[in-house]
Amino acid sequence: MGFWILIAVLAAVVLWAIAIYNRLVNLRNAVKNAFAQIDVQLTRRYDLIPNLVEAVKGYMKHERETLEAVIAARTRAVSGLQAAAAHPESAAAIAELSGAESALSSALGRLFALSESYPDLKADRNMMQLQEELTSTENRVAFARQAFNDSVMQYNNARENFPNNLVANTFNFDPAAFLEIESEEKRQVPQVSF
Amino acid sequence: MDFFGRQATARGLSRWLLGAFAIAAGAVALSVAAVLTLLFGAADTPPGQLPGTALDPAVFVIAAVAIAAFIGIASLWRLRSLRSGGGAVAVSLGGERVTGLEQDPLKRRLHNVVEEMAIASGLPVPEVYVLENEPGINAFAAGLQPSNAAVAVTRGALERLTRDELQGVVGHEFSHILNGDMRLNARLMGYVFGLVAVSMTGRLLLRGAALGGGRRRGPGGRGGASGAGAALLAAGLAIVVLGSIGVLAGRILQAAVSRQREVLADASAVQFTRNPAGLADALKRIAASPLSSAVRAVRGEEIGHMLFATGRRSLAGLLATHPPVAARIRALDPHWQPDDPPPPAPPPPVTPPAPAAPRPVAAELAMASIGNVDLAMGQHLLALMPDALHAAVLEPEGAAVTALAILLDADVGARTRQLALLESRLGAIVAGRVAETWDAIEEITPTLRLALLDLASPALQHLPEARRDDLVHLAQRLVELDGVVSPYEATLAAALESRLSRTSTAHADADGALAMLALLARVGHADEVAAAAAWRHGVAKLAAGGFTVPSPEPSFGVVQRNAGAKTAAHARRLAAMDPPLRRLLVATLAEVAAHDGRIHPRELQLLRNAATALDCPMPPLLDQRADSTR
Repeated sequence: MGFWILIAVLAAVVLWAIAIYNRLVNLRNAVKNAFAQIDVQLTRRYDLIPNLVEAVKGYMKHERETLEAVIAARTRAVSGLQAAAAHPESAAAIAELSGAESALSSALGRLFALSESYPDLKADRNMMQLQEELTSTENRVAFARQAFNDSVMQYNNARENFPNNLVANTFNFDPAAFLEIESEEKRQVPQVSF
Repeated sequence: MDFFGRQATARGLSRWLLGAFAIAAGAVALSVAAVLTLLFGAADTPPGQLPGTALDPAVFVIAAVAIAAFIGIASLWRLRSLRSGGGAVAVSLGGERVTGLEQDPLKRRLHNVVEEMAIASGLPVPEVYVLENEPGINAFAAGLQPSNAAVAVTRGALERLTRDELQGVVGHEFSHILNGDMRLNARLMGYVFGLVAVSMTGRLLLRGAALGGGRRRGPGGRGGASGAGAALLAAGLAIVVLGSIGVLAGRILQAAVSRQREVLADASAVQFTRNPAGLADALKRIAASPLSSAVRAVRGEEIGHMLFATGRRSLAGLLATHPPVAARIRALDPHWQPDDPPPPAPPPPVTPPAPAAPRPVAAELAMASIGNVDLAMGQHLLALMPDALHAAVLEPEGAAVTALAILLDADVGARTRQLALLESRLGAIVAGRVAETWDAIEEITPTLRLALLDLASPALQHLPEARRDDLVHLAQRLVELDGVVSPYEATLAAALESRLSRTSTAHADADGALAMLALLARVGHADEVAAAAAWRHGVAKLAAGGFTVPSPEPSFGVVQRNAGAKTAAHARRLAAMDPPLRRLLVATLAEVAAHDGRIHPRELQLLRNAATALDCPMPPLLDQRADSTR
């Protein structure tokens, strides 16, 4: 009798662990899926930047450094995205992508700030369209990022709750990281020189 | 703002109001039944007895059930008539479809904003319409299911709102879609109509009684209507009065629900956009000129409840479909005063200057421009695209015809055979259209042809699946017909195929990839030895990146012989590979093309076709290299 009770309890525990395991797998896949949405939009953004540089180059002949900074930041972000796309659940890859994206945003911010002083450039039709597309893409990234961060939070919560954490630690469910893209302008006081 | 809390409140409130509706309808049914039983009971009472003593409870119950059923059936009938898709509603109000490919920057911006909100709200992208003849600032959502929903915006909103404000307005409409407000509104309209039907029946009875009474009074002159006639008159009157009370109560409840939903939609718009100022500014702009949200085309209540702001001025108080604008603004910006100046007007839309003539592209600049593949083509080249072709590819049939025409051979003999094949498969009319389209396509450059394929792809996606498969099959037959598959043809067919089929598998298709590399190596290098060296370099890179190259490695000579046909045949599998694999392949292709240190325009064209076929327009390493060489 006692033996059968023991068996029943063990079976219940195993079934329960399986349920937790499956739930964690589902949530981790949700994180990956949410990242795929960001991936699409970020790729679109990176595709737009060479066009932007091309459009701006003719007007901003004396801003080579700024343009190079944008290109360098883009290259870094592209490789960051590739690494992160391969392992969206890896906190390190997401952190690198966050950093690269922040750098790219601030480089683009400087470029747009500079472009304000080129009236011809501002009236350029191509430039206007590119600016609209970039704005739109940045919004899409922001909205897709909300969804990604929500799914990361759900996954992390499920992973850290007791008793899920026992299963999570046994089967190597690593914590996922939020994707936070901050432009440096937001944090720094703007410096104005006369 | 606590979005989920408010959503729960609104849902609860809606349920409560629906309950109130049921009670109102039931009350109408019961009271009408009671009146009828009383009147006809009184009329049937034999003389000498007190009225009411002959009342039969069964009559009352049957009458009540019959009237309730009548209300229900009338509601359902009305509900059925409301079941058209959102697009049809928008078109009936004068809406013009926006696809995002327009020249008008305002329409492109609108389409972008809608797509952004679709991402933010997690809904499929609805159809987008502009009401061109409406100068007021307004918008509405239509369609009972998220999958057939449409969002329409007035021309006035397009021109007079800034981007952030437009986003707020579109976010508001998305909330209506997300929360199923159109469905709820339609249901409420159905219920109200059930009550309207009751009072309409009463009116019919009245008219019948008046006619009957008049006829009898005319020739007969027996003085006064019969008892039954009087009862009919009284019954009609009672039904009209009770039905009208029910309708009024129903309308008040419906308006109350609608106002709740508007509050919820404002809250959700802020949730989606994370920018209360945008929505608040849009409302302030409307508040600044009271008629500026007027929509002339919208008359019925069907859309009136779904507008962003009230479309007619007259309704106020209990029957208002929207809360007062001032209250909505204060919910977003508590410090607002009605006499505050409205936000500064957005800059007037810049009339775009005529596009500059295309400059000839120097050879080394071509490499730098490779990153421009997708969007630059769409944008630079759109101006060069003949209008007739551009217009044709926006609808599925025209896009299919154009896609086939692009694949026709420049050589007359080969083309005649291709057209004969088309005629036998699709009929003379379609083949004729393809031939006509070819005449227009012959005029444009290969780059423009590829861009045309890009423009056609959204419309091609709308073809039924079987037609798409047919088209892919036909495209392959066209390309292979003359027995020689030129590299250009092969990559173009591959590009078409990747536009038409989107199945995802993770497998690296080494066979197809090697053929594609060989195609490019052969075109880009003067002699066989250099080409073979470039090809081997590429193969090694692919092998390092996860492609399983067959061992022993096949010789370049063998692979290149049928490379064209193989590329075309493997196009679907290549395009379905995982994005990192496709990116690796494009990068490798670029390296192979650049192996001898230069990229010919012909090579570049091929590279672009291939990149499009792989749905992966950006080879990251190329712009780096282009940068360092300059």
